[in-house]
Formats: sequence, C-alpha cells, structure tokens
Amino acid sequence: MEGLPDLDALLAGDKAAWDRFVAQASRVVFAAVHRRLGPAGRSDEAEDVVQEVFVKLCRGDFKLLRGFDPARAKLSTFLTVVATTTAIDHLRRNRQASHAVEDLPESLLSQDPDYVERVKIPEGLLSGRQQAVMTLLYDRDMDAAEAANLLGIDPQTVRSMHHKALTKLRAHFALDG
Amino acid sequence: MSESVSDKDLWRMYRSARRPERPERPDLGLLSAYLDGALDEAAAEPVELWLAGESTAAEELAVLRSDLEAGGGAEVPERVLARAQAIVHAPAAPDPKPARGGLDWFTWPKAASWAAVAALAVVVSGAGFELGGDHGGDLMTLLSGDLGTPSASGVEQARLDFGEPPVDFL
Repeated sequence: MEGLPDLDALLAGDKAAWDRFVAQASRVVFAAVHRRLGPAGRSDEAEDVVQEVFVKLCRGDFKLLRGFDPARAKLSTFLTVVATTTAIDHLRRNRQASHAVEDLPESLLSQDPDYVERVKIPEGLLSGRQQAVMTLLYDRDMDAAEAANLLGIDPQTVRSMHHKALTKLRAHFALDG
Repeated sequence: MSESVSDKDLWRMYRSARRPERPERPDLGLLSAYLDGALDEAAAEPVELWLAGESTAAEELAVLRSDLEAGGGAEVPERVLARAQAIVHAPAAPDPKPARGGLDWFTWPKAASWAAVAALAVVVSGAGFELGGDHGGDLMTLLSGDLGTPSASGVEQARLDFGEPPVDFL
C-alpha cells in the first residue's frame, strides 16, 4: 500500500478521510478475500465479504481499526489479516454441517494411548511457544524448518524449544510415574 | 516411567492430561504484529497458545503467511468501492433555529397549565355568582355530590351553614 492514510482524521469521523482509506485499502482487502473464496468456488460472494470487512473495521466507533498499531505492524498486514480471517469465517459459516470422516483432521480422530495416566499438569509447565512447537512437530508432522517458517523464528530456536519441552515433560512424568 | 516411551507419546500424554480450553483467535492487531515479527516470546504467548490449542490455527496462520507473501492488490470494481464508502456518512448539517416571533414559545406543558388556570377561574367565578344568589344551597348540594332534587330542609341547612344573604335584592 502506498503511504499511510490519515487514520487520525478517519477515526475523528472525517468522511473524506474514510473515502480515501477505502480507495487505498480495498485493493488489498479485495485481493485477500478473492484468494480465499476463489479456490472454494465462491468468488461471486467476494463483494459481500469485502463489505463485511469494511463494516467490521468501523463497527463500534472504529474499535477494530483503533486496535491497529502502526509501530508494530504494517497496515497491509493488518488489512490482510482482517480480510483473510473474515473470508475464512464466511466459508466456515456456510460450510455444510455434515463432514465426511476422511475430512476430519487426524488429531480429532486419534485416541490417547491406553497407558496414559491422567495426572494434573501444573500451569505453565510448557510455555506457549513450546506448546506451539510440539503441536506443529507432532500433531501437524512438520519438520523444524516448516515449524520455524510458520512461527517466524529460526529453525535452531525450534529445535531448542523442542529439546527443552521434552526435558520438562520427562522430568514431570518421571516424578509422577 | 519406562524409557521406551517415545517423544511423541510423551507429548500426547501431556496433551491428553492437560486438555486446555480451545483458545479463541487472538486479537487481529496482535496477530498482525506477530506476523510482522514485532513480538517477543512473552508478547507472542496468546498467539502461540492459540496455535497449540486450536486445531485449525496452524492452517489459518499458514494461509495468512502465504497471503502476505503473495501480497499485491486487485482492481476493485467501482460499485464495491462506492458501497464500502457509503458505510460512513458525512455528518448531517445542524437544524436551523426557529425564527424569533414564531411559535417557539409554545410547548404543550405550558398550554396545559394555562388551560388549567383558565378552568379554575371559570369555576371560581361561577361559584361566586351562585353564592351571591338565592340558590347557594343548591350549588353546595351540587358540589357535595347530591344530585337529587333539593329538599326544603336541605336549602334550610345551607342557609344555616352559610347564613342569609345580607340583602334580599328581590
């Protein structure tokens, strides 16, 4: 996106600033929505979803837009996130209620091993990042490079997180076992 | 614990025992900052707990990363633009003040109180007129709620109550 629109004027209710913002942002929003709906064969619904995105941005006195911090993220990233998640939610709402069993992720079908003891796990045993790494490596069968790419961190950090998580788990279950 | 437990089984034991609540998708501003690499590990915790606890989160994050990588924009049809721009309206012009000398002084509560005062004045002047005549007793009977034909004793009683008029004009 070229240049940052005048968000202060827009948030103050300046209609002309809103019109300029829409003219700039709609290119990114429209493209992101099309990328999600196109493969699902729902391109004809793109215009309504784009409208839903802009309604979402200004609902509640621009509450969502006020949550955007230009010091932490690019506006194009923010708009892509809002547009893509809106399109994903739109597809989910319209998905048929019945799913074929083969469409369900393996993690939902798998059963826990019989020998699993249901022991109390202390809060904070694994950090959010360690849990995310373990989920991606074991539940999503990603390798360290793929997990690192998704998390936006170095593969070496993924390996280190994996190692630390396993050490904590071994210590925890050894104590309880 | 047996040494034969694999790393994956260890993770599944943890996951099975913990069963965290399914976290909701994090705030979109936070998610954007995460995707732009602006968060340290502590600030990224809500996003990574969502990744660990929500089965669809990894796919969603992968989709977002690929969308951001693809980048670019698309030509937007004019009607889409106009529709989105119409969501926010220009502020309406303020209503002009009514011209002085018009009916701006008129309000219903004021009119009602003036009507009540006028009605009271009519009743009081009527009462005064009746009390000044021969039929003061009739008026008092009427006001006391006795709507029957006044009896002689009733008129007499009224005269006792209020006294005879000082002068018999007739």
